[in-house]
Amino acid sequence: VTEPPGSTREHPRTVGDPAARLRAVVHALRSRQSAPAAPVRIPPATLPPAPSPRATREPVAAPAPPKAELETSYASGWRARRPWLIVAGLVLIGTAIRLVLMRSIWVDEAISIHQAHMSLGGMLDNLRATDRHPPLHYLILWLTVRVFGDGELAVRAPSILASLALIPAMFAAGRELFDRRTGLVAAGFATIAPLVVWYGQEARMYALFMLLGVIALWAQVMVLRDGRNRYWVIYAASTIALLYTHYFAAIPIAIQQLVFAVAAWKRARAGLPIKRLMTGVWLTWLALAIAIAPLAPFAHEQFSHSQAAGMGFGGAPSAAAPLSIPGSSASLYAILSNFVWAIWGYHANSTMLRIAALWPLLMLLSLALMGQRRSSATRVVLALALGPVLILLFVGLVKRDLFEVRYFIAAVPMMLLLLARAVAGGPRRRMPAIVATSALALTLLIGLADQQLNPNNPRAFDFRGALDQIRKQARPGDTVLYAPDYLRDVVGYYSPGVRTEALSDAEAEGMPRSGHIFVLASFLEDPGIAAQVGTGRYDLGQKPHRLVRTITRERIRIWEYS
Amino acid sequence: VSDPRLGQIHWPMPGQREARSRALVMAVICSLLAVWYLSWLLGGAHVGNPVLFGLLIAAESFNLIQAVGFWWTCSHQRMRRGRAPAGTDAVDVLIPVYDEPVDVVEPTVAGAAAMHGADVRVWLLDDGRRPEMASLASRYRVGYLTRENNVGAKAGNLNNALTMTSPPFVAVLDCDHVPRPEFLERTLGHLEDFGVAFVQTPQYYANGDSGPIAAAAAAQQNLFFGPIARGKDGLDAIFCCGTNVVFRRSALEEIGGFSEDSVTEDFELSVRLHETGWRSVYVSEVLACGLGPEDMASYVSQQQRWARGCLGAIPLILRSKLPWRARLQYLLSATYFLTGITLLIYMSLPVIRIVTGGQPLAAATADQFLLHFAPYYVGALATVALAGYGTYTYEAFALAAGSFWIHVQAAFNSLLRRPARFVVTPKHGTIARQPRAVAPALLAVAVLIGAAAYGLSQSHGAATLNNVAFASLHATVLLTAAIPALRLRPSAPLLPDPPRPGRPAPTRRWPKPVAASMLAAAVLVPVALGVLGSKGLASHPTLSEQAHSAAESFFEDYVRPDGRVDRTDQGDDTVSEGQAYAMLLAVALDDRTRFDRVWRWTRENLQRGDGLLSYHWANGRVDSATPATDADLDAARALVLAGKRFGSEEYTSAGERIGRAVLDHETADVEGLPVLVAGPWARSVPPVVNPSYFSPRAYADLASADPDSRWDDLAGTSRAIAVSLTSGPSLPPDWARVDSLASSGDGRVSASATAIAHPDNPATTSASAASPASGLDAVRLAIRSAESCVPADRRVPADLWPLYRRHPGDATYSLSGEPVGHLKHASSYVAAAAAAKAADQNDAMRRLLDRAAEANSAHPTYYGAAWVALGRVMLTSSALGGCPS
Repeated sequence: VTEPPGSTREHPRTVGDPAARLRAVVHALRSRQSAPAAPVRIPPATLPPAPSPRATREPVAAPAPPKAELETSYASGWRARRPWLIVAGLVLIGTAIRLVLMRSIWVDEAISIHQAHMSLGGMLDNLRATDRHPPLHYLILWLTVRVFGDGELAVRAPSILASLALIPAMFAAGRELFDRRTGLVAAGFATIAPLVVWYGQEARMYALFMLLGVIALWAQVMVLRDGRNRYWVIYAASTIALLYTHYFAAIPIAIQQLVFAVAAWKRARAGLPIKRLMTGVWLTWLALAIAIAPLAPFAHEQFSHSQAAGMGFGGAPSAAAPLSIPGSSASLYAILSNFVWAIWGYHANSTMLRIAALWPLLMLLSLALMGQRRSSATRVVLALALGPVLILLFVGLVKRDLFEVRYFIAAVPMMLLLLARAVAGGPRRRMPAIVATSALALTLLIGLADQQLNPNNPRAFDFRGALDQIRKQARPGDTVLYAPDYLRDVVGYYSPGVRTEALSDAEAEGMPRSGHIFVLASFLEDPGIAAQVGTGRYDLGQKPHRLVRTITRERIRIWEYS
Repeated sequence: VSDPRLGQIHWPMPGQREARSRALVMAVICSLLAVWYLSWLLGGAHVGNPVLFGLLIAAESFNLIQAVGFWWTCSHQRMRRGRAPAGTDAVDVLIPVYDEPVDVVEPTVAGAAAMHGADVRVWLLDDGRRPEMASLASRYRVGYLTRENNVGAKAGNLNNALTMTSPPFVAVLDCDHVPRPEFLERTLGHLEDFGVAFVQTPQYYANGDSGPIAAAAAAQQNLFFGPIARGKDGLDAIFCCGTNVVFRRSALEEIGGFSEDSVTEDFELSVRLHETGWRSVYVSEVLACGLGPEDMASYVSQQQRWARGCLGAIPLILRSKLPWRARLQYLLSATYFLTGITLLIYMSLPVIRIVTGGQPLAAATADQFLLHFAPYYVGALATVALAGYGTYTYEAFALAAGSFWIHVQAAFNSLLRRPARFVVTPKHGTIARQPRAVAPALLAVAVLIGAAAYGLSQSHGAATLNNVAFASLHATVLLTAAIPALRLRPSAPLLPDPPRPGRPAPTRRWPKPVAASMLAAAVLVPVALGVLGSKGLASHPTLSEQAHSAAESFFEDYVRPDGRVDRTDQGDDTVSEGQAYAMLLAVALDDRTRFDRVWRWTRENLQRGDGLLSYHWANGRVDSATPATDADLDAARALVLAGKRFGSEEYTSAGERIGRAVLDHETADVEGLPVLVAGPWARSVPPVVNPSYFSPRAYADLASADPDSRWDDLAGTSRAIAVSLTSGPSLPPDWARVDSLASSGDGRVSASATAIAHPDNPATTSASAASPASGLDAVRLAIRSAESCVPADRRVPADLWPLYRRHPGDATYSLSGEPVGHLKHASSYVAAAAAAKAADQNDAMRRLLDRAAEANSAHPTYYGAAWVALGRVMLTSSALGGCPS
């Protein structure tokens, strides 16, 4: 019975001798009894085996292979460097993508730049009193402004660099978690993923949030696989930096601690030593506690100020998203919209509605996942991709503003990793994998193009263009009235060269009597703002003012009164 | 090991407690989610096309019953292990064969001959009467039995053997199922209980690695012989599956042996055994390994036999005197083969929606549907995955879905009582393509893809895309099942297909015309039903029967086939206002065809260069090109609503265009604020307004499509003018002039307006000879204001309720509310109903709407019919858009 199919027909001794055939069958049947007793269940591993036989990726308890074996198993020279050369090429492409079509500074960025112009102490005081985010990115921005000035490129440089660094980080994480091919595809996705590009072009903390999240995941993989101290140090440092970047980083950090706990439990159950692992975990916690001690009072003050202002934690008035965007409220369509944003970026509301309407295809995905074996690595990435979303969804039921892709943006690289795994590692054969990868990459490119170029993108605010236009037409003595009030910093950043004033102040203190008046308004989807602008325009419509022209830019309207 | 039957076994065998508790938890969760979904679905407010809704409910109900049955079964799993007998009993092992090749049968014979734990006598029952089988039996020194004919197929063969053997126990093995040596040792112990008729063991397909179809079939088997069979055992309802089973001879003899009239003799045998009080046992250990179908033709043949046999057994189950749990279990298993019909319904729905516009649900946002459906769907799917311990795969699901036509065919044949024929499932896979075996599925794929392509060519709106996605989902699942049959298998089957004299070569013919016609009909009939349903029956959910009927009546009586609204009571002319009313009603009816027809006529005959609509058309041409603001505003609103409802950018942009034209040409600037005037002609100073043209909902709808702060301004100024004209209270005049507007610091607007008798002469006032009146124009103010989502707007008609209540239904009133003349008019009753609604007098509203309908029946008019329908739609439904709660 060990012959290939059909060979028994040509094997006279076996065919001709029923006793031999019977013995062979009985032997085969009996030999199965020595096989592992049913059910045959694969013992769950803590993390997947190393994709290539590098000694550094072997489990701690496993004996290291002989050196000669290692050397022969290593790809050497060009072949070994080739993936990194590809990654370098991706970084170059990513740089080009992030530098072209850079959009206007928007409200939140302008506020951050304004804060970065303060003294260090003043900025920290201001953050305590008015902001809701931890200070790491602000400190980087503060330093950047001092060194490179406050040009658009300068203030966005930290984010651009972080989003570019994400590309090799994704490669490393994908390679360690799954395999090299997945790592390369993940790096490719990070190069063109619309949301990665978007926040790579924004002078805020979100690109750093993504980068640190991936580094922390990679470090955790290395810690569990290798256990060397340097990986523990990298893990602890990235975790601390995460907490100093965004408070919601606590969610992925907590998930990673759960992963440690599960790993320790499984190792203990398998009879493997866990002392080294637990020591590392305890030391990390200690380092974390010491490092975040100064952050606690800082966060407490921010929380108190927010509560006192009636805005609650995380409710950023300056970052108010247009209310008409699908997904701005906590609903299933909101979840869908946020997932679409996470993978394919921001798009016009009508496009989002259409994409969300394709939800039946998710049923296909859920069916396709049936019966698929998921590795421990996939489970970890899945937990980091979905955990923050689900937690913020529940939080969003209480405070709607908090269910927003920016706040779980560290999950975006995890989703890209999963997608990379699905298309690069899912199909058994090479060609379907190439086709699937190319198809997904194409959709990402289409999403990127639409996000960057479509003027109907509800997140794109052309303050630069609007204020340029005013600057060209304004004469000394003219006034720019803006609404809502929190446009102050962005109006100040793109200074139109004439006097500027909040519309609300002008209404309270009296409208300017001389010169042309430019009313610049945005966020008009908000009924309160629309009413404020309407009232102001009504007042201006009285003599002696006269409406001269109206100008419309992306999400901004300007009325010029003589 | 080359023969997969002699290879490793992968068989999840969880602990009983774990499996039960897992299933129970999921069952509880899923039951709650099912209630959550179905209570929403059956809530009554979401009925679209009643025919399609009925089909959907039927399909969902059937599948829910199956799902509940699955949860119930899984939560009773009994993990019964093998039990060795105390003594050594004599056992006959019967291996029926027909035309299977020797190399398939030989390991089975060898395995059977090697079984221990009993006094084993193996019998090869050869209905093929082939010398090679006799030789095989001789080689292994096992018994060889033949008979003169093949009456009763497998059942007859077994019965024949039973008459020629005598031991107390009989094991039956299909000729491709190789038993393990301990097969009898693990089963006979359970037969020491004298009440047990048979012991069944899993039918395990060992060739799951030999191709996609074999893998999928194996996964299906694993789900059945895993949690389902264990659950049936826990409920004392496990039935015999025809192989890998040991019978007590006396039990078989008591009921007369195997039924020779059925193609699933084992199933009927079990029913009769249980009916006579015998019990059955399921040992959940793999004790024999067999071969599943490796190609689509084999799979189809097997499924056809099972479906036909099980469905044919339903009457027997219903007539039987089984305990209720066993009866339910048998019914669940038998009716499973109706699942294909529900799949056909699910597949038809997106096709019908795309092609005809008819849909089962309406007035439910996708978000609402998802909120209720998604948890139920995910829960049900997760239960299958968890209960099956990951053994059930997408490919298995797809293969089952791709067999939908077999279920439909079997159901038809069972209904028509056509005799079934026992067909041996081929044990060898072929390497040839088998398009015939998947032709019906391919036909369904063609229909689905065709519908999707047609839908995309018609619209890129969200609603269409949603249905295209559903069609694509079904097409992908069906293609997953069909593609393996369309490919040459990359390698020869694991066991070679021997040449068989007399066996016809595999044919590549497509289905017979009759079968193809039946299947095409099965696909097209629901489509036709949808067409009929969408044309002849209600199609919008929130419309009450009365609202629907009123809207339909308006269309039947006044809207010509080309889309022109014919004022048959006023000289067969047409006004733009009537076109706009028809467009609003078509949106409310969710009837894109009618909407398109009416709008096309309007656009082609009335629309001016500036976007506004000419007011009057008669004798085949435009009689007056002057626009009327109310018609323009209503038409723009209808287009924007249609754009959303039907997913058409074209409608939306057309609505936006008219809306912008209204803002630019039909508003007057009064002290910096826009006022909606009666038409471009009325912008002179002082501007003339018709208060009944004010439409807060139209402003809001148009603002949502084209954010322009002037819509908000119009809402404020219109409200202020309406308040100014009705304060007192006083009924609104048909016409008024606006004297002044003022805006306070907090954004509130106040107005000073004066009622005038006629728009041509704004100077006339109530003091003049021709007093201003509140006539059939003015009635609309109350209705449009009552429809508003803004409480301040609704206060206007609420304040008018005392006046309308005193004398409802008069065609003309003085402004103080006294009837002028004795004419009654339906539209005036509707205005009174609107006032009642605004005053929270809902009973009165309903009574007045009924009186409006009666008045219009007594004296039918175009205007009355329009407002009876619009009144019902606006006041009693959210068909033109609900207010946020």
